[in-house]
Amino acid sequence: MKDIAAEMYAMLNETKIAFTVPIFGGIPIPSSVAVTWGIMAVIVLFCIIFVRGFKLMPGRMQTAIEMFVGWIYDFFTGILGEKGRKYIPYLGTVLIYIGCANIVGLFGLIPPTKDLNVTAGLAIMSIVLVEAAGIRSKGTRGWLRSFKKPMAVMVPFNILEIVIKPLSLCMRLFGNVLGAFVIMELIKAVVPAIVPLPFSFYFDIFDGLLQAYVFVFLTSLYISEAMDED
Amino acid sequence: MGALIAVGAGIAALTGIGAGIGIGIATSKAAEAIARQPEAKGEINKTLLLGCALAEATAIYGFVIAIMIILFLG
Amino acid sequence: MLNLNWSIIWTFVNIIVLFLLLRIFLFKPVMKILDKRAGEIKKTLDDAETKKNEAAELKAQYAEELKAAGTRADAILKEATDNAKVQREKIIDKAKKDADNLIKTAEKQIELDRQQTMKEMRSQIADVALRAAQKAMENDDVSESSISSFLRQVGESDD
Repeated sequence: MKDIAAEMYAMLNETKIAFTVPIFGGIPIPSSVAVTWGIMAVIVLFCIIFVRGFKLMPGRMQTAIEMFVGWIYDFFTGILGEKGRKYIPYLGTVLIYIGCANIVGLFGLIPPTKDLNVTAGLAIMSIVLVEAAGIRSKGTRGWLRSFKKPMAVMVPFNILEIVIKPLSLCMRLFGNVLGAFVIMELIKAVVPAIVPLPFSFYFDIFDGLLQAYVFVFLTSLYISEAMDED
Repeated sequence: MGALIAVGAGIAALTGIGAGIGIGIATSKAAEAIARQPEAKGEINKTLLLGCALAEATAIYGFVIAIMIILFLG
Repeated sequence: MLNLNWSIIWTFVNIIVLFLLLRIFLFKPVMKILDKRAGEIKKTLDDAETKKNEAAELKAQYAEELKAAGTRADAILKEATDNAKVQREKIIDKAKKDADNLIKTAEKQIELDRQQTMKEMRSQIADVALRAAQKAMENDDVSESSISSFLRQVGESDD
């Protein structure tokens, strides 16, 4: 038991360095960043290959991509309304990225979302986007005034919410991935073959995609709340 | 010390009770709502998923704290 | 992996770069093509609508023309019937007149013939009487039988 704990501790507590870029005296690249680059390269290459040849009369691949993008637009437009259309590409990017990042565990890579830095970064960007949307929609004065709603007593809580929202987003994603990882490690320690497979499908595919969905869903909900003029 | 840490981690993991009850209630209500209004299924599913994600977050916090207790204090 | 450190910056950079790339390579072209297709479909529908309207207009026009043609045919038929009636009456009148004339002429002719016949008969009778008188004078026999035999003679020779 002790060695599993020690192993896990070692896996979780150190920042794995994939390689070091030999400029400025060596910039270490964490493995999560390296995997992220791989995911980015795959996604962008996929887009370039399949989207470049788009025609008015769609083929099968084009129909699938169009349906996917159309679904993203419909989904976010349903939450944000017409005026939130400009935020949809970012939310779609995050959805695709988190989805791919969670699935990547299937291919034997370490999901980047298991790095707290990645989920925290995503959450911080989300809260920046939410507040920016609030400022853009209401103006700085209206945005500041929105802190004392519904009454002035709520000001500290509303300010606290700026911290709580991204913390909750970050911890939900990270906790899910970490929990999945720990449970998978424990299962693998007990039964190394076959049994982990369905669990792997559940945690990597279902839970991973669900968490990506929930992450962008909550972000868009916060944005729509921030844009709401009441 | 080790036993105390284990107890602490176990208590932190108790948050799962709340999440379980919450998700259970939410799902039962959603099932009722879908039975009553099958045409609102999409909307109900969306809301249910959101509620479950929020309720589940507490369990996740407990889990993360339990892990942290074990890893950083153990 | 549990500790936050400077590598969070990588996340920002990666996500922003991915966002820009996806916006260029995925969202913009796909939305462009979707909008284009929507525009195309809308155009087609509009086209169909105008075509339908045009067709309806044409149909109404044709119906009107058909109706006008019908009334014109009716008018022509009526005119022709009227003409025919007039013509018929004229012809009948003329025929009647002709027949009257013919009858009149015939009657006149008959009258004339009769008078002629009478005249001839009168002269013949006179002639017969004369010859009978002559015969009687010759025979001095003015008996019943001699007259009748004479009359027989005359009748035979005259026929």
